[in-house]
Amino acid sequence: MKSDNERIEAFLKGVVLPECESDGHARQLRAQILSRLQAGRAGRGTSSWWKTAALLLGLLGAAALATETIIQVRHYYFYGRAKDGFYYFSTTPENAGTNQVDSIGIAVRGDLDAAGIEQKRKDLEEIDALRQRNARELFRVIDTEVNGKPVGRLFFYKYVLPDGRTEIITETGDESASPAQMEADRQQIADLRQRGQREIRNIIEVEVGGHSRRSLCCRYLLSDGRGVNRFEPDPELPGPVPLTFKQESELARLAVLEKKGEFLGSTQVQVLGRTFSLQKYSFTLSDGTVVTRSEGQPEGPMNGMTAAEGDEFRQLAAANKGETLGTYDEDVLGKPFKFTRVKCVLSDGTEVIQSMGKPGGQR
Amino acid sequence: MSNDASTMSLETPTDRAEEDRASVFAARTEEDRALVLAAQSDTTAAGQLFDKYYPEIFRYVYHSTLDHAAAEDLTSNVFFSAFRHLELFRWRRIPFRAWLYRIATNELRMHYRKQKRMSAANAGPVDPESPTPVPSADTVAADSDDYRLLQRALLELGQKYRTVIVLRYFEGKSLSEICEITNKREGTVKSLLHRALAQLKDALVRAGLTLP
Repeated sequence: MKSDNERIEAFLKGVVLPECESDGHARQLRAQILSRLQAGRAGRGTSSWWKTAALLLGLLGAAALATETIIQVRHYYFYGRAKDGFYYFSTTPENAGTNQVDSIGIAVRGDLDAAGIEQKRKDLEEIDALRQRNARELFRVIDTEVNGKPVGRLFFYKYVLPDGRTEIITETGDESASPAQMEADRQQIADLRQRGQREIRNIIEVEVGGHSRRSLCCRYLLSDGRGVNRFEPDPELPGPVPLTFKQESELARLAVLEKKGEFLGSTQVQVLGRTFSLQKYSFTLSDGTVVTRSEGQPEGPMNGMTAAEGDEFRQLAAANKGETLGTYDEDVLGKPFKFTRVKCVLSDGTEVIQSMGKPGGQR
Repeated sequence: MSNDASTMSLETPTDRAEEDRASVFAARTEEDRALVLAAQSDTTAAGQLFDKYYPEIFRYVYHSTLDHAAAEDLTSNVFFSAFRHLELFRWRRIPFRAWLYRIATNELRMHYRKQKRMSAANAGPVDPESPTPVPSADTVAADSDDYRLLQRALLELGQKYRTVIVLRYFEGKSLSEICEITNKREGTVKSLLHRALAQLKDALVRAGLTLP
């Protein structure tokens, strides 16, 4: 004799389920989802070369010193994930193992698994190739002045990958300079350095076995509005220190990405007439080498906005609380752009003027 | 001890059909893994993923609500939510299919909750004798009398019981799939099914059905 539950099961198995189809809804929903997905991916690709080129030069290179970036077909590798959640990728240094590094890097925001990281790495190589061929669309240019001082131009490029996906990358213009442009930049930077027209934004000191090296992260404003960062040796403490590239790389990973040092205290140094406050940490590398690394910024105001000021400015701009100062046309990389100048005054009195350029101005 | 006998039948996952379902399930899972990985960065693959799962999820939602318009709305919510978070989806935790069903089950839970609130707000004092919310006007579209009777009886069950019945008997899910969708252990799912069947029997008998 069947149990009640077996009888119910038999009944359930015998029930004829109604047909249900919804082709129209499926088509409509599919189109909506894919278009949102595409738009989201285009937006999500926004990455910051301007921030990371400097950062990775700092990462890899305290050893990089005065080397210039050379544009060539490059392989990218995944460098690591920082505590701030960014994934760092860098070009493979051609001369790894020596004390010279040519490398640029990029930070990518998001949540990537192993496959996502590999896909992103490949995408960056594709983007690099597209950049070399200038197969990209410059769709926005932004100039920013803080308290009357320009802080450098940003270029927003749209790259269409071979499979149709779109990535948007923010660049300083330093990433895609031609050899001739680089040589011109090098000369201009040397002139600016000679005249003391550089801003030291950060210094890094490394001490190993009684040898010390101090690197200065200098920002130069070029005549075309670009702002570029260069790591340069401090003539007072030029090094070298007895570290291989592999050890430099490990040190950078521990210090910048993983922040795994033992805090030794704070100290102050005078560099070119300014006082810098340094935080000193001790790191033990995997081969047992003990390295002391200190890093710090100048005391007093720096050109540009702090992170908090940047956030406040974005909020004000998004809420249209800025004052439009006017518009003007300017050629950017040979194409006409129309710029709109907007002024915002932050709560601490900092005055920020942003000029946003879009294609379409008059020559 | 008829219920015990029924429990025994539910606790026999080694039957052939269950084994077959499990191996098909494993193969589908592997297939899905590649598709989902591709869809995380490729819109064409995302389209394929949608095509693969839309009919199944729509059917599940429709069979749970018997309301075509509500099924479309809820299915939209499921896919918008899933694709918005596609890049956060981690295979280690749960297969993609089960993840979609989980989202759908959650949408259904919210739908029923909203309906309950609305009927409580609109109907004044609750008449304990009156049946719980009935399917909407779309019910007439159902072409099975038994099914409509069943739907009415199912609506008397709690959400967790209704879910396991629909998944098991309407959608043909294996016990392991139901475990993944509901995020419950096998023993718990078996127990839920057992109690759900018992409650459903009572509801059907009350509705005048003579069991075979």
